[in-house]
Amino acid sequence: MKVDKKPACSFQIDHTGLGLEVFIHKSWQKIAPFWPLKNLIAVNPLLGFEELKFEDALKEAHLYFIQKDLPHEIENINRETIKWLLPILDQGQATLKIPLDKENYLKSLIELISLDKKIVPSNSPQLGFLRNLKETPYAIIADTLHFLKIEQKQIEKFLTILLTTLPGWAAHVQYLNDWSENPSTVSFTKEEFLALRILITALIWPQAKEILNFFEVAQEQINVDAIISKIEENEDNFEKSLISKLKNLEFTPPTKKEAQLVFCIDVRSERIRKAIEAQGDYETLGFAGFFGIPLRFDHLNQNESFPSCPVLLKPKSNVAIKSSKNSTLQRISKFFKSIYKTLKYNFASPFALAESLGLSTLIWMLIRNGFPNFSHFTQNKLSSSCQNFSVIKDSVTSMSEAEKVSYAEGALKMMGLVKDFSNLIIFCGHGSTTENNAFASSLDCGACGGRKGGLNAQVLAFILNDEVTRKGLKTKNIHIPETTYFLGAIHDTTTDEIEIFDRELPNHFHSLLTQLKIDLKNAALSNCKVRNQKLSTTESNSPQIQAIKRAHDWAEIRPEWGLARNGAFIIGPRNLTKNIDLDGEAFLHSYDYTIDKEDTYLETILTAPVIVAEWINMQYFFSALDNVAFGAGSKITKNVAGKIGVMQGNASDLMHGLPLQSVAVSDIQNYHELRRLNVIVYAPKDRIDRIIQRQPILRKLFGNKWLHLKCINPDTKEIFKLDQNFERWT
Amino acid sequence: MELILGYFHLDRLSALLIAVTGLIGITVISFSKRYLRGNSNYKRTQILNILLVSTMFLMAISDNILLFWAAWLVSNLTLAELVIHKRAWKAAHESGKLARRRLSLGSFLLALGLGSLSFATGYWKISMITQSPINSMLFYLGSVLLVLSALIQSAIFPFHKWLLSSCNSPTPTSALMHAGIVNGGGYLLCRFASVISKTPDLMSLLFLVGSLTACLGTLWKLIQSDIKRMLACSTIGQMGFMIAQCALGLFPAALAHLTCHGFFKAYLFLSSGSAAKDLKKDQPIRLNCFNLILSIIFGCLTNFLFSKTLGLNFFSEDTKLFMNFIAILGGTTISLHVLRSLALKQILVAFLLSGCSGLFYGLSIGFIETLVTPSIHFMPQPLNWIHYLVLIIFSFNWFFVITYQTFAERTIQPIWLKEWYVNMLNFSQPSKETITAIRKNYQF
Repeated sequence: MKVDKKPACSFQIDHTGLGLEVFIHKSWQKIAPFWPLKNLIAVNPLLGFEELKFEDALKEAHLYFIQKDLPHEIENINRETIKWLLPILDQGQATLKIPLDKENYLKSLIELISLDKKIVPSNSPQLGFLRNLKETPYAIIADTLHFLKIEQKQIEKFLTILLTTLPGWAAHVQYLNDWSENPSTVSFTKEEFLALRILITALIWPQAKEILNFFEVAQEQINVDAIISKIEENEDNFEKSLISKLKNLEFTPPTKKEAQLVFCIDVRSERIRKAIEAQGDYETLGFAGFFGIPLRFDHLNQNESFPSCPVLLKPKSNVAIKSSKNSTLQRISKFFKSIYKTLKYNFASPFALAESLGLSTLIWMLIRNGFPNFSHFTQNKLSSSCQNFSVIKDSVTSMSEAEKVSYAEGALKMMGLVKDFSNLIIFCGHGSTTENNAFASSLDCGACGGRKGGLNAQVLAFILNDEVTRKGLKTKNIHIPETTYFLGAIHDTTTDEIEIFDRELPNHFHSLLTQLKIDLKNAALSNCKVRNQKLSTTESNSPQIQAIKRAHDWAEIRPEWGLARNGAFIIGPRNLTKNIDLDGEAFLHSYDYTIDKEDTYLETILTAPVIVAEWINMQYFFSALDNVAFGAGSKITKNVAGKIGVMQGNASDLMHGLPLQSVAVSDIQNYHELRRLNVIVYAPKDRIDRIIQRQPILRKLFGNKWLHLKCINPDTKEIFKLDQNFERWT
Repeated sequence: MELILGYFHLDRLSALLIAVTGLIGITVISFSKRYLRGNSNYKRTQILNILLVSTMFLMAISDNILLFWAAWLVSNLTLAELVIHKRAWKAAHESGKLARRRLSLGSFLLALGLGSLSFATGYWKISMITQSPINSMLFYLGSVLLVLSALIQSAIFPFHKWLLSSCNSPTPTSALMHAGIVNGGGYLLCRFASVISKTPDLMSLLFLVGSLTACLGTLWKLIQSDIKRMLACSTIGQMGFMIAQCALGLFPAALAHLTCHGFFKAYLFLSSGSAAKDLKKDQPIRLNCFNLILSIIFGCLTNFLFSKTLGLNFFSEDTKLFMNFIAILGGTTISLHVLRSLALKQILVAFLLSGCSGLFYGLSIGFIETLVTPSIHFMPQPLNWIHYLVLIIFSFNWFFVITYQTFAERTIQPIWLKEWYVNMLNFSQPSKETITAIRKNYQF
């Protein structure tokens, strides 16, 4: 995890002599980051409370985030703050931007606010206070705290309340400063956010100190017993059924298969893997969708780059990609689109634009409504922004030998694939297809930084096909036969279509590939059938046609269930889960403890993919627990704000979390089950013990019950449960 | 049978309104089928949608003032119900209440207006009232009330707040509102064109209010950072422009605007889920003497072909001049966009584009004009100083928007710019009860 940046200037709070920055830092720790819509990454909204026991964190959450009857002054304060935050954080919606001086950001902002009659009426006594303010955020916060007569021991609590009463916007600022891809371009710091917030608070409500009393009273009324017992009941039921499935294990000795397919650990892979295995002699494996390579992709045609790895990692290697060359049609449509925008976002020309385009819009609207597949196809033909990237092979093969071998060795050993290689091995990333969906990226691959997977899969395939790498791997005791060939692919989780990137495949594989493609089609069909039942559609056409329509329909609010109902994370060989039905509720990570002599791979799995899964599980958990406080609310009334997130209706807090439609069947019935992730490891328990002793983050998460841990002893096949003091397995 | 038929009247104007409302209604209802799945209000919403569309149909064909008014009232009350959507969500409830209050006031004024006109002329039938030669005080009062109710219906300043505060509604309801209900004002003015054009002073006032709204709405739109309020402000501006067109006597042009804008805005609302999709911004236009002059020349070319298509003069001597003016501004904007550098290729492209756009624009308006001509005609007015003033204000605003970025990017922004920004931002806020300032007060 990243270390917080040092504040730009350190200021000693004048009337107490104690560093204000500590309080600011501590108050910000309560706020989890919120990623923008372009790559919505799942995160535990209570990330800042993980040091606490789960129950205590839930109490804190109720105190800070689920307060309904806040004093009405807060309403005024929030309304005015939101009004200013919108243009400040806007990423390209407004044409006439807020006139702020980039060098004297805060100063020019305060100047604007002092002109705002809704916050500072013309003859207000606060005007003088405002004019005499110093220019650094620390000084402003300190002076305003003094003005509000907040005592030193109350500062942390007060600042925390300022953040948690507008949690979504604060969460986005947290992201911008500590988690965004280019933190250097961020002009609005966490201190500046607090300065703005406390300033508006003081100007509107000089007695804002009273809020502290309100929270003190509120604290005494919190009771989470009912929720906890409901969660525990869910977990007990889930655990019982899971354990009964895992108890009657029958291991079949591994044999060489026609082809091996490696999928992301994502819960959606579990079903499609099962469907593929039913089609023929195929083995499937599970591995994090970035395939162990922390990459940054540089886009050649356009001057941009993006990371493709879990946000907990930093990209280590760069790989070049290009999009398929734009056709003349695409170039022309791009040109007209830019003219359209100029006319739309100008004065007087929108009148002419609406008059000119009205009738054509009508025709297009009727087509989109009646023939979604056709309109989707047309849009793809015309749009140059569709993600048809391809990896430039040379930029992969030109990596250093050590780099390539270490990525290859790491990936193969971690998923336990070091012998019995099939002739064809396919790495399969995933992404979704959805139209007109603000939350589209929440359905893409979290391991690839909230983007579509597939590119990393291609890179790993290139690396493993490379002669130099294979030679290097021999020294690591991995012998890949010459007859083996690797390919990248992408699984569309909405339609279940799997596209294999097979342009360079040698001829003699073609019959195998043709058969595989037929089997994948059948697997997709049978998986769509199961998924349709879960989506309770009433239509009668073929399951896959329905799925494709859901992917292309601009009115669709629930194209797929995403990772809803996730509940378990199983680390072990496929044999363990092959013959049981996990109903798409489990993350599956392939792992073979016999080749992991020093436990390094298990340690990585427990501290990286499991953490990502915990964030996903907690995001779904809290979005389902209280969709208003931790979710994005209904898609029906959403309002995309500043191109970064959604608000509800006219204006509101930035609604971080998942929309109602991602976790609930209807506005009265949840689909996602409230339960914490159950991590099940197929490895000797003393090994797990050792890792937990070494890793404070695991002690924190398992000890505070953010996760449950179980172990299946390979020798006896007995199932043990770790108690929270790490002392006893039961 | 004849007795019943006497209450109705079907002409090109009613047919147009039915076509617009019907097409948008079908789209919205079929869109909602998927979009509202799992919502406990699904059935209620669809029934209200159907009710809204059918009362608008009824309004379009009613010739009897009572029937017309009843249809008007019911469609407005239905809309308010649709806006509320979830009563438990206070902000949405307030939006609905505000819409209901404003639209009921409008309906009340309409009742008075229709009543006065009916008394003054002695007719119950709209088709008779509009043909009546009477021009009494009561008649005048009736037309003023009629105009007022049209202004409220079309969310014209200072009656714009209800529309600006209506984004708490479900997206399909917004589409129906911005493409259907707000058009009622324009429809009313066109239906009673012969009545309101009898009083030139009223027309001038209407023109001022419409133009002011067009300016405010467009400028507000350009400073908004969220998609739905941006669209709402845009509708306010567009409605202002349409009302101004009516006030200039350009009724067929106003109807063309009403129709086209309806489709356009309904589409933009329904597709607003994609608002975050393209993040890439185009370079703003940089003005210099050469590209400005050349662009204005090309803008004139746009107007040349536009006016040829519609059979207008290049520079009309009456209020049709506004149509020329908008064509010139549109063409100039397109050319400025293309002429970032003055390479021969770009000049050629700008030439072709501005010409084609004039043609396309003309054909588009001409199509609707031909559709409604037997019922609705141009009644252009002689130009007066108010018209010239508005032309100057429009040009100034156009220039201001194009050059805004150069001011805003300066290290020290001029104080007038800051004041302008803060005032405009505050001016374009929804009514404060309709904002969900405390997160937990939101309810789905």
